[in-house]
Formats: sequence, structure tokens, C-alpha cells
Amino acid sequence: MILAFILAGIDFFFLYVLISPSDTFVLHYLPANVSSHLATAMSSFVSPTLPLIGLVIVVLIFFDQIFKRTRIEGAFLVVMGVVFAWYTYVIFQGGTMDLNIPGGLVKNITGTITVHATLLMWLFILPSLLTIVKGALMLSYSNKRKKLVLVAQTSSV
Amino acid sequence: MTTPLSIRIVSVFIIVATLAGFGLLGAMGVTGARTAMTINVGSTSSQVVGSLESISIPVSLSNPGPLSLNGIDVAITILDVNGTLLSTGGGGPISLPAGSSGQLPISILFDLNELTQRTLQSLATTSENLTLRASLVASVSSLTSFKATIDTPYSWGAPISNLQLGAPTTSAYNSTFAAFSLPMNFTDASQYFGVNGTVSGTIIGQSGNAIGTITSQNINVGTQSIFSDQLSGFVSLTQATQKSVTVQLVFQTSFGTFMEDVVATA
Repeated sequence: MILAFILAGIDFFFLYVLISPSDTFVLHYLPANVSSHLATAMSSFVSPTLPLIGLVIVVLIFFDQIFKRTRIEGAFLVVMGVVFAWYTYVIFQGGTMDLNIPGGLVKNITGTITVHATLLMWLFILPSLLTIVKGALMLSYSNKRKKLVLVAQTSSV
Repeated sequence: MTTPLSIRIVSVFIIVATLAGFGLLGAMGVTGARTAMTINVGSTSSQVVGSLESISIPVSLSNPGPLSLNGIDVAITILDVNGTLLSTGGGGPISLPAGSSGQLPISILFDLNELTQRTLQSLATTSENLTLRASLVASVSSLTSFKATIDTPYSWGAPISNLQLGAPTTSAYNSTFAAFSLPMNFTDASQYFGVNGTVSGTIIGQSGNAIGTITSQNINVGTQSIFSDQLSGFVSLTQATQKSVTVQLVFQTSFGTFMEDVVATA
């Protein structure tokens, strides 16, 4: 339980607090003029749904720890893999990321940066897909074990 | 109860894929950041070929990172305060394999035939903040490509700026004209263009009519230096006593002909 809280807390920081454009506390530690421009830049780069998906992942990580080594751990992993893949897809904006540099963030410079990183995105999605596979294998293993236990119980009766 | 081999194998793959992803991201970051730190802009030079004024900016850079940088291409446009296109240019594409160095010569071209006389006049005589729009395209090891477009102010120094005339002195010449001498100075505030050519002109009296002429005189001013000399000419004897006249100067230079009206007060 303590480990679940610790892991969920760490993930809450990285997946919600750090990337939430409107109220991330990181901006509070920067000069007012920089933080307002950075918030504008982040809002163009970070999708508003990203912190919400991050929150879902935090909840899933918490319950994954709670239900570790139980039959439903596999199901949690499958769901977590799907949500993490979605999170990664949203972070990479589907493979083409646009970042606006608002006036004032960098002295005398405004502009846009577009990054095409589809291959890199799929490389980052790969662990999520493998997590889905792992969850599915665990589910299948757990069902197989359940059947074996039932067979053993039946034969012993 | 032991974990099945298949699940353990998938777990190992998850770790390997995660490490590979972050490792590659780190390698790309290191390649980009370390290359950016090596960018060195050399001394610029300019030359005139026909109606083209070109500015050459040598840029050297090296790639100390672990991945190659391909298709590095720079495009530059310069716009005036009204958004009018003044100049285009760029450099590349070049590729920098890991551990290599290269040159990215950038040239910016002003095609004087493409500029209106009004724009040319403004560029020649008014120092102002233009807009430099630069686009950089590159790809890191064919995995990721990016395009950055930035707008930044570009401080344009006019070749004929801060033009001033001193008080004229006249002397008798003949029964119709008086000879005069008129101190003139201006600053070539341009980083790139010197002023080579001639200056001549007309003296306009308070009635709006031409009352004298300025003899054509050679000027040869280097970049970012001050020109100071005496103009000479003749003015109608009957009008030579006017306290204030307008001097219509005509500069004929390698980058065009410009007129500038300056008031001279005795």
C-alpha cells in the first residue's frame, strides 16, 4: 500500500503537475514575465487532455500495485498499456509536434518549431504495446492456472 | 509459483524498448545541443554583381554528437516594416555525419531591380529595424526531422544616414553667379555597403525655383565610417542672400540613385 502511494505520487508529479500548463507549480518559481510566456508556449505544445490522461495513469498505477500478484493484475496492465500508448501518442501529437515561440519568451524572437517524429513516437509506444501483450499473457496464464486448480480440485474430490 | 518464461521475455523487451527510446532521445538531444554550441559565424562580406547586392555569411559548425545530421538547410527572407519582401537567401543543404565538421555558407541577395525606388530610397537613407525571417530544416539520423521558423528584428544601418549640411559660405564668381562652398557630412551606418559614386544637386530657393547647382563630386565611403567634405557650386547672385534654401542632393551610387532634400541655413 505504501509503495502504491509512493509510485502514484511520483507519477502524479511527472504526469500531471509538471505538464499541466495552467497551474503547474514549476511556473510559480519563474519570473512572472517568463512564466506567462512559457505557459502560452506550453499550451500550444501540451494538449489539454494530457494531464487528464496522466491522472488516469496515476490511478491505474496505484491500483496495479494494490492488485499485484492477483488475477486482475493482467487486466490492469492491458488497460494501463492502452492508456500509456494514448498518452504517448498525445505527447507526440500523432508524430508531428508544433511548438509556438511566443514573443517575449526568447528576447526578440518569435516563431514556430515543427518536429516530425513519427518513428520515435512508435519507439516510445512500443513498451506500452508490450505491456498490453504482457497483461494479456498474464490474463491467459491466470485463466490457465485457474482451470488447472479446478481440474486438480475436481480430481482430488 | 514462478512467472512463465513468455512473460519474463516480454518484461525484458519492455525494459529494452524503454531504454532504447530514452537512449535515442538522449542521443538526439546531445547531437542537436552539442552541434548548436559549435556554430560559429565568420566575418561577413558583400559584393555587387549587376543589380544583385549579395551578403555572404560564412558559418562553420561541427557535429560532435553520436548521430548524423542530414539535410541542414537555411532559408532567409528580410522584410521591411510594411512586410514588403526585400531580400531572400539561404544556404545548404549540407549533411554532417557524426564527428564531422562542415561549412554552411549563407548568402543574402538584394535584387535592386526587384525593389521599388521608394523602398531603395528608404533602405539607402533610413536606419531601421527590419524583420529577418529564418527557417532551418534538418533531420537527425533520418529518425526525426524538424523545421524551425523564427522572426527576429534585423537592425539595418543605412549607407547614407544622418545627412547634415553646414552653413554655406559664398564668394564672388562673376556678374551672374556667386561661388559657394557647403560642408556636408553623413554616416555610412551599413555593416555591408560602402557608398561609391557621385553627389550632385540643385539649390531650391524659397520661391520653389532652382537658383543654383552643386558641382558633381566623387564620394568614396567605407562601411561604418563618416564622410565629411565640402560641396561646391554656383548660385544666382540675386538669390545668394537668402537665409535658408533647400538643397536637393542626388547620390548616384553602385546600388542606385537617391535624392535627399536637406535644408541649409546661412
